[in-house]
Amino acid sequence: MTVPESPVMPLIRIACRTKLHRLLRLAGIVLLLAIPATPRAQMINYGELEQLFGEPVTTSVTGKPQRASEVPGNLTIITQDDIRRSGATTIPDILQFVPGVDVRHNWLGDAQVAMRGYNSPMTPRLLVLVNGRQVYLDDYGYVAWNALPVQMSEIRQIEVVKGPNTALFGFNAAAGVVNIITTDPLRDSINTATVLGGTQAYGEANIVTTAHLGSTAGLRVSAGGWTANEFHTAPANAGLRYPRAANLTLDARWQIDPDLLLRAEASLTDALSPRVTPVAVSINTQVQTNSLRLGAAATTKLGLVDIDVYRNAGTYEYSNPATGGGPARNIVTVARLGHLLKLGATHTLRTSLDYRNNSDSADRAIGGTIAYDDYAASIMWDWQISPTLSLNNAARFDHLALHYSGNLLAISGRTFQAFNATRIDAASFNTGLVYRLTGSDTLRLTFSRGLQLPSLLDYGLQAPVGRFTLLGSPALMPTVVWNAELGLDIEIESLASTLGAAVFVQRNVELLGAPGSTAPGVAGGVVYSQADDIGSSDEVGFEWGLRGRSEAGMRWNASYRFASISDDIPAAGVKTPSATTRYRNGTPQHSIILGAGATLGRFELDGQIRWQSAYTDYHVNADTFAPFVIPNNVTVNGRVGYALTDSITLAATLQRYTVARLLAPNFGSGPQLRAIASVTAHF
Amino acid sequence: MACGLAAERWKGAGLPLAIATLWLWLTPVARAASLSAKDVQIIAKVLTFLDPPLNGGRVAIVYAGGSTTAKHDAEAILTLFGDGIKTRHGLIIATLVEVGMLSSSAGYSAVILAADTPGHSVATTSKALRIPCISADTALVRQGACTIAIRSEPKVDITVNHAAAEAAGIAFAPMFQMLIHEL
Repeated sequence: MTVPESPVMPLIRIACRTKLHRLLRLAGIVLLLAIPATPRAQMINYGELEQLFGEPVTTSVTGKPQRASEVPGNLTIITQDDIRRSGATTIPDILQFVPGVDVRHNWLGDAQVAMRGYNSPMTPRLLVLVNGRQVYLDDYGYVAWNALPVQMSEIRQIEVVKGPNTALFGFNAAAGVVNIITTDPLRDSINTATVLGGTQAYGEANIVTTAHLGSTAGLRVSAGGWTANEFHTAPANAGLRYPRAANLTLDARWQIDPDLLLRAEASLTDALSPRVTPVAVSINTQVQTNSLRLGAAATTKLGLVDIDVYRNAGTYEYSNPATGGGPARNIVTVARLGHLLKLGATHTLRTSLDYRNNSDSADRAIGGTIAYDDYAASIMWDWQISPTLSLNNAARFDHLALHYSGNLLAISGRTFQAFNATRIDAASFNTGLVYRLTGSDTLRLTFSRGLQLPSLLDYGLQAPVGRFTLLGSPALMPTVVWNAELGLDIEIESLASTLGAAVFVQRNVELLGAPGSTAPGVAGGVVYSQADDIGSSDEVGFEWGLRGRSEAGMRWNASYRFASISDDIPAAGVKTPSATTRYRNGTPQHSIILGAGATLGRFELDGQIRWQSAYTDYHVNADTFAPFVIPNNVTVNGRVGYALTDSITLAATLQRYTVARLLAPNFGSGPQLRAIASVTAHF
Repeated sequence: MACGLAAERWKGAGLPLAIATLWLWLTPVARAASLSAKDVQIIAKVLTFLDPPLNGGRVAIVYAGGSTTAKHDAEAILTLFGDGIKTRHGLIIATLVEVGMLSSSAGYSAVILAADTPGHSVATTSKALRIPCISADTALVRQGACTIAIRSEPKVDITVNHAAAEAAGIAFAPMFQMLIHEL
């Protein structure tokens, strides 16, 4: 197949003519020599394997490549077709129509995404990855969705795993994992440019282009940016700035020979938005990140070996319009050595060694640098007991050493020794039994123990904010999340649909109370609120979803989610109830999602509607948290697309959100409408 | 009135219709092949996940010479291959081979077993030729008489007899191997 030349080709030709090419070849030879056996195969090819098996494949549940219908976990895969048909401009706008996912909208660039409830501002319970690289920000442990270095058109699939998966991914895969898989620059050829405009003075432009050097090397470059006013008209008067974001990503792969693949990724982002903090205050945030990643994958006689090294660096400016703020510098360095091997016909073994160094420096918020080194080893064993029954076990052990350097506030009562002697040894596991009832129906029973590590600010914050001083604590232990689940997936031929159902129970032990949410203390005449383990919380829930399509081009989906949470958080340990200490009231018990779509000639028409029951949010009122109810509400997303030619698509999207307004003096919530028109060119 | 006219028109057509129905039922060509068009496409793709992959070439559709059912099934499968199936590595062309002729034939990269063809007679030859034997019949693969079983409905299912594949020196791309069912 002839691949059309892309605008990036001249750059590659220049690289080939120069010493860079020689250097890259030398690096390849060095890596070849470093592999201890003769390489014989290559890494996962999502596109071809999906085409062969008629369904997406994933490695996000066990680390082993698996068909989506056979994983020992609760997995939803959102495909590129789903993304395009949604017309969504952000990933939370897509995730809000996945059963069991809770999304709160506070500002146009600030959405909180949680799995199965337990949502809160800057929620740290969700692990978000782009091609396996973590993109959550380690200071608060949250995801700045507006700062993800990825364009919607370059995403192959979004893999949503509900339930803990720390045994595979490490800390913060406590409630679930979202792994965003982009297209393969070596095997896919994506060349698109999109211009969007809409209400709230929204304007966006983005481009994705791919260049191939023969059949052995590929480079994908993507860039985009957007700017808008806000949902509310008041933020400018309140000192909050309107949102904007821009990012650039390069993703290159080089197949040195059929058996060895090198990978390099780099990204830059700059995103500005009002954001709600864990203490329910709206502030200005500017997140600037850069990342560099190098990796290699090879198959040896001893199995598949992959090496992955990356560094995420970020400068975060959090500025309260009333009290000011200051910059923080966060650097995460991760190195991972993985090994995957199929033993005989029925056993697969994956082992991994991980190292992670994580530091956050801020003069004003931390008084220095808080950091940790984490060493982890993990193992996964998959056993196909019979053609219809398989058992998967994964376990991981983490050893973490905390460090602090800087100026400790006297009122904290902490010493350098208290920080630098802190060690956490923690184990996590996942067990899953999958029974194939028929060729297309499966029953799953899973049990897991996940961990949510306190964020760096939970450990090291020491910031006077108003009348309070907010303090972290080195004595914090990770929140342990236990989860047991029974799931069923069956094909209903008469409806041309798949029905997925799951019932689960979850227990959260040693829940983390963020600084500012815990009971105040007084030391040396200073009132402080210090991060602490505040209690436990239990949840039972049930989800079912139906999804189908007809050969005539119709598609539909329907789902229902029920969640009931019971908190055991003693009132004595918290300041006043807040979003991070009262999960029962903060989680909608019921949600219903209905969707339908059709492709009619050159037209695509799609719509999703989500109804969810009321929940309680909190805002700050004179040093305490005051509740306000977000009533039963409806979220709507509709899109009409028209293929003007084979290479130009016009689309119009209408969205309705319920936005919680956490800004004085008019706290509350209300519906907000967005309308977006777009033109996409494929070249 | 109209119904009466129609009944009159079809009067006396009962016997020829019954004969035609019987003829269609007895004629093997009228039956569906043991493999569907989708199965055949999957076979072609599976061959690209062999290690080393099949870079185009010929596959033998093997049938028992003494069985009309086998012959007609093989012909139906051959029809599904048409002028060949294009894969990412090249064109795969199919040829009919009578089971007795297989051992003296050369140049085939895989064997596809037609219905009503004894697997054991092909097993020895495919093993000697170090090429995979592919069938729609999972039982044959379970017995070790064939290497790979393919089924595309209701979902794609690829089953491999690990011992048979190993004995014939047949290897698969590791990622692919983790996605199939091995016995």
